[in-house]
Amino acid sequence: MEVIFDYSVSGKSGYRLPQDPFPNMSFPELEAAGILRKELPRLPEVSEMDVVRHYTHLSTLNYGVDTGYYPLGSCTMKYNPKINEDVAAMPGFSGIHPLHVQEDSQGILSVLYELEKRLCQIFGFAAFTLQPAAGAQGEYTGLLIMKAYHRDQGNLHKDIILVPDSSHGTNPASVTCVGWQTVTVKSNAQGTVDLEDLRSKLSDRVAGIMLTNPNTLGVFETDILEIARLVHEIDGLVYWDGANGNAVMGYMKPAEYGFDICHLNLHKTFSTPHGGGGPGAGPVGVIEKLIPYLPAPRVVFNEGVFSLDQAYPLSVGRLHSFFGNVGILVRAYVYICTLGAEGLKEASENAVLLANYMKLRLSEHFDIATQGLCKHEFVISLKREKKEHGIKAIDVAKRLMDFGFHPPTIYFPLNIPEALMIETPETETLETIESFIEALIAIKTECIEHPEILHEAPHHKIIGRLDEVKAAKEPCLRYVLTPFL
Amino acid sequence: MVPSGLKFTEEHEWVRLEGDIATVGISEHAAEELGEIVYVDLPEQGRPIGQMEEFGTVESVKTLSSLYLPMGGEVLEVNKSLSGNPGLINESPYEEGWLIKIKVSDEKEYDDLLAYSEYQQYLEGL
Amino acid sequence: MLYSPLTSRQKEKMLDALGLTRIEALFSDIPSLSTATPLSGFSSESDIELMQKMGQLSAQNGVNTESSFLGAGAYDHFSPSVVRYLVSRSEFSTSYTPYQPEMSQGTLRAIFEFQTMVCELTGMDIANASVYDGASALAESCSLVYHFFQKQRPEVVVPSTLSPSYLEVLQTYLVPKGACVKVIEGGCHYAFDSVLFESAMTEKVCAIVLPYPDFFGTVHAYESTIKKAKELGIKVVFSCDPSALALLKSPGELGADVVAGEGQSLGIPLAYGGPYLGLMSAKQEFIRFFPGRIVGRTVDTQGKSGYVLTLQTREQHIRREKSYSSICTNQGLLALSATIYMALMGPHGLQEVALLCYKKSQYLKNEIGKIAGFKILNQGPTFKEFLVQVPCKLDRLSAYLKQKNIVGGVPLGEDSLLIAVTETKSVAELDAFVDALKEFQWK
Repeated sequence: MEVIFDYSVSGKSGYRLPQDPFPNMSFPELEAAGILRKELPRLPEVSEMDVVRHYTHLSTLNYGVDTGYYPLGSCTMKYNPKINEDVAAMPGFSGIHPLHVQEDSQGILSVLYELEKRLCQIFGFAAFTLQPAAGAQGEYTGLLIMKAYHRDQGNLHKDIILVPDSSHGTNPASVTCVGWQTVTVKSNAQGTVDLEDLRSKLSDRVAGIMLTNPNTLGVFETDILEIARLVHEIDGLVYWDGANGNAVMGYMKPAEYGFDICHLNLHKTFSTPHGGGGPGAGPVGVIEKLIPYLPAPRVVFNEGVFSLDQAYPLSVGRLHSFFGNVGILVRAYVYICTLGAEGLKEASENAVLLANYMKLRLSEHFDIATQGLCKHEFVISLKREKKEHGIKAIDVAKRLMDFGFHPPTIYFPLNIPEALMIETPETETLETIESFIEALIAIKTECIEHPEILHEAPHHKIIGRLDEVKAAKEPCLRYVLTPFL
Repeated sequence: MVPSGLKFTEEHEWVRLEGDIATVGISEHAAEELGEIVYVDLPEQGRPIGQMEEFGTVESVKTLSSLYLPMGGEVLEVNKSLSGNPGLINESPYEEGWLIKIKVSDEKEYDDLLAYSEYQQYLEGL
Repeated sequence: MLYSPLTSRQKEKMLDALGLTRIEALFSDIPSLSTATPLSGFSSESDIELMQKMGQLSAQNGVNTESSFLGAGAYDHFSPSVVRYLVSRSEFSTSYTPYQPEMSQGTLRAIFEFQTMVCELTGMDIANASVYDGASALAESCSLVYHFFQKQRPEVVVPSTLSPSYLEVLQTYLVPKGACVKVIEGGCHYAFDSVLFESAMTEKVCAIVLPYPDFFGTVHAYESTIKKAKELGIKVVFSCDPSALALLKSPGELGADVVAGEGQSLGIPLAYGGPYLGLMSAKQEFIRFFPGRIVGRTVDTQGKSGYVLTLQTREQHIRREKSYSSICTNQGLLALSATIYMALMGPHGLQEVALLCYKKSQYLKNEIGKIAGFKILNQGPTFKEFLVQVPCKLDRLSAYLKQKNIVGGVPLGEDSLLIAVTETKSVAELDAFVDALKEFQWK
C-alpha cells in the first residue's frame, strides 16, 4: 500500500453529498454538443477511513519544522507559529470571495494595506505589491518593473543584468524570462562581489544588478554603497534579492543602502509554513519613482474606506488570477504583529548569533568558505574531505539523517566546491544547535576512520539512497492504472 | 588508457580529425565528473556552427553542461545511439560515446587545441 | 524573546566564545550610514490582543450571512472536514520542498498521486506538482509551447471568452519573451466566434487557447477549431475548470496538447483569491520543456520502490539562464489538499458534484430566463455559471439584492451579471434568488 490507488476497491466511497433535487433533469444541450464524458476518470474508490489512515501514514514519512531542525541555507526554516494558522482559518479570511463587494471586504483589505505599510517600515521602501505568489515570481515582477522604467527613460539599449556567481538560479532564470541577458560577476576571496570584475562588466547596456545581501555564502556585501553608486552611475537599478532578509532586520533597510527594488520571501523571513514546497508569497518593494510600474490592482485608503485601485496605466501588468496568496499574507501579518519592530530585530540578532557561534565551533573541524563575520548562514567546503577521504557533500548530508537531522543545502552556492550551506533560524534552541554541531564533528571523525559508513548512508531511514539515474532515464511519472470494468 | 590522435579543449571536448571530418566527444574526465549521463541534446544535421560555439548540452541527474565545438564547421552526423543509451558516453567516451561529426571549415583551428599531455596538465591545475 | 528560545545567559556564552561583548558587534560588517533610520513604529501584540483584533477584522468581511453567487474563477465548493484535518498535519505543512527524498516520501508520494489524478481528469500524459494558480498555469503552458517551437512561431491566439485576468497574466508572461498574444473578439465579446478565430490561425501561431468552460460559463467542444489547429501544426492549449471534468469530455479527448487549470474548485478555500492551485498537464512530447517540479518513481539501493523529484535539469536551479521558466515554488500544500479531496470524492463523487453544479445552475438559469426583462446571454450549453443581461443599472439591482442578503453574481460591464451555482446552494436559496428577481421593480 504505497499510494492511495492501491487501496481502491470498486464501490467504496468517502463522501456524503446532498440528494439530486432534479433527478429527472437530462442534458440535451450537452449531448447535442457531443461533450459528455463517457468513461469516468480513474480516481481511486476509497473510504474516508482509508483516506485518513493513508495520509496520516504518509505524514509520518515526512520531516517538518515541527519534527526537528532544518539547517537548510537560504531557506530560513523557522518555526511556523500556530496562531497564524488559526487567524488565517477565520471565516472572514478563509471564506471570502475575491470579487466580494468592497464595502464588505474592508477587514481583509485593511490587513493587506497594513501589511504593505509594515513591510515598508521594515525595509525602507516606498511601496510594496503583495501580488507575486513566490520569490521567483517576485524577481520576475521586479525585473519587469526595471524594464518598464528603462523603457520610459528611453534606455531601450539596456538588456544586461549583472548577477554574482553565488546567486540563486532563479536570478538568471528570471532575467531570461524578461528577455534580457545575464552577465555573471565573480566573487573575490572574501566571497563578496569582486569590485574590479564588476567595474569591467559595467556598460551602457547594463540595466541593473541583482544582489542577495547577505549573499548565499552568508557574507554581507560590505561594498554595497560603492556597488550601488557604480550601478546608478550608468543609470542602472539595484535589486535586492531578499531571500536572506532574516539576517538584517533592524540593521539594514535596503532602500537606504541604494537598493531600488526588492522581493521578499514571506515563507522564509516571515514564518509562513513551507507546505512541502509552497504556497509561498513574494512581495515586491520599490522606491518612490518606481511606484507607477507596480502590478495592479493595489489597495488604497481614501476617506476611511479601503478599496482596490486599478488605475495604474504604467503598470507592468498582472501576475496573479486575483491578488496573490492572500492566506499567506494574513499569516505573515500576524507574525509581524506578534513580534513588533523590536522582536523582528531580535529575531535577526539571534539568528546571526547562532550562525556565528556554530561557524566558530565547526571551524576547528571543517574548512569554512569565508573568513570573518557571517550573517545568518555560512558555507562549509568539503573539497579537502573529498580529496583525502573520498567523502562528498552528499555523503555527509545523508549521514546527518542517521543522526536525526535534515541535511543542510548542498552543492550550493555553485562557486564553492562540495558546499554544505548551513543556516540557523533564531527559533532553534542552543541545545539543538549544540547537538547538530556534535553530529557534524562525529561525522568528520567517521570520514577519516570509516568512510564506508558515509558512502552507504542513510542507514536508519525507511528508504535508502534512491536511484535518481533510473528515475531520469526511465521516467515513471504516474501510477499505472488499469481500465475501469 | 591514453587516447591517441585526439586533441582537447579547456571545456573538456575532444576532437579526432580525419581529412576534413572531425569527430567530437567529451573527455573521460568530464564524463566522470558529470556522473552517469542521462540525456544529450545535439544539433540537427547540416547546421553550421563556429569554433567554440555551443552546439548542445549533456545532462546528468543534477547537472546541465554546455558543449562547445572544438573546430567550426557543418554538422554531418550525430551519434544516434546516444538517444537511447546516453550512458555510452560514460562507458566509452573516446569511441562509442562520440557526439557529432563535423565537416570542418578551417583545418588550421586544429592547431589551437590542446594535445593530450597539455590537457592533462591543464586538469592538474584545476 | 517571543519565538526565539535563547536565554540571556546563553547569548552571553556565545558572544563570549566569539570574543564579543555586544550583539551589535555581529553587525559591524554593515556600513554605518548617517541617514539610516531605526526599525520602529509598531510594537509587539499579545496573542489575546491579536485574536481579538483579527477576529474583528474577519467579521468585517461579510461572508456568513449572505447567499453568494460569485464565481468568475473562484468558487464556493464544499470541502469535507477530512481535507482540512489532514493537510493541517504539521509533518506536511511545516516541511520543506522534498529535495531529500529519504525524509520526504510522504510529500513525494502525494505529489505522485496528484500527478496521476490530474492526468486522469485532463486526459494528458504528464503533469507537474502544480504552479501558482490558473492564470500562471495558462501562461506557463503557452510559454512551454512557444519554447517547444524554439520561438519560431511567435503568436498565441486567444478568444475574448477567456478570463480577462488570465489574459492579462498571459500577456505579462509572454510579451517580454518576444511572443505576441492576439485576442479574437467577434460580434459580441461573450460568444466564441469560431470562423473569425480560425481565420487568425496561421503558421505563425504556436498555440491557441481554449477556455473550458469559458469565462462566461459556456461549454464548447471546439471541434472545427481543433481540427484546423492539427492541420496547421498549432498546439491546442486548454484552460479548464477541473470540477467539470468528471462530467464533460476530457480536454485530451477533445484534442488538447497542453491543459492548464485552476484547482481551487477541488475543495480549496476561497481565501480572497489565494493561495490557489495551478494545474498543468501535457502530452509526453513536451516533457523536456515542462516547467516546475515533477515526481518520479524509482528504487533504492535495496530495490525497494521510492519517489524522487526528477528530470530536474529542466528547472531553474540547474538550467539558470538557459531556463524556459523561472518557477521554483509550487503550491505543495494545496496540491495535497486537492489530492485528498479527489481521493475522498473518487470518480463517482466528483461526477456527482459536477452534476449537482450543472443541474442547480441549469434550474436557476431557466427560472431567471423566464423573468421579464432578464435575458440569458450564453450561446450554447453552460456548466455551472451563466451570463444574464439585467434590465437596469447593475448598482440598483445589487443594492436591492443586498437588502435580501443575496450577492447575485459578478457584475460585468454596464448591465450583465455572471452568476455561478455550485453544489453548496440549496434549492431554497435558488428559489429565494428567483423570487427576489421576480419582485424587483426595475421599471
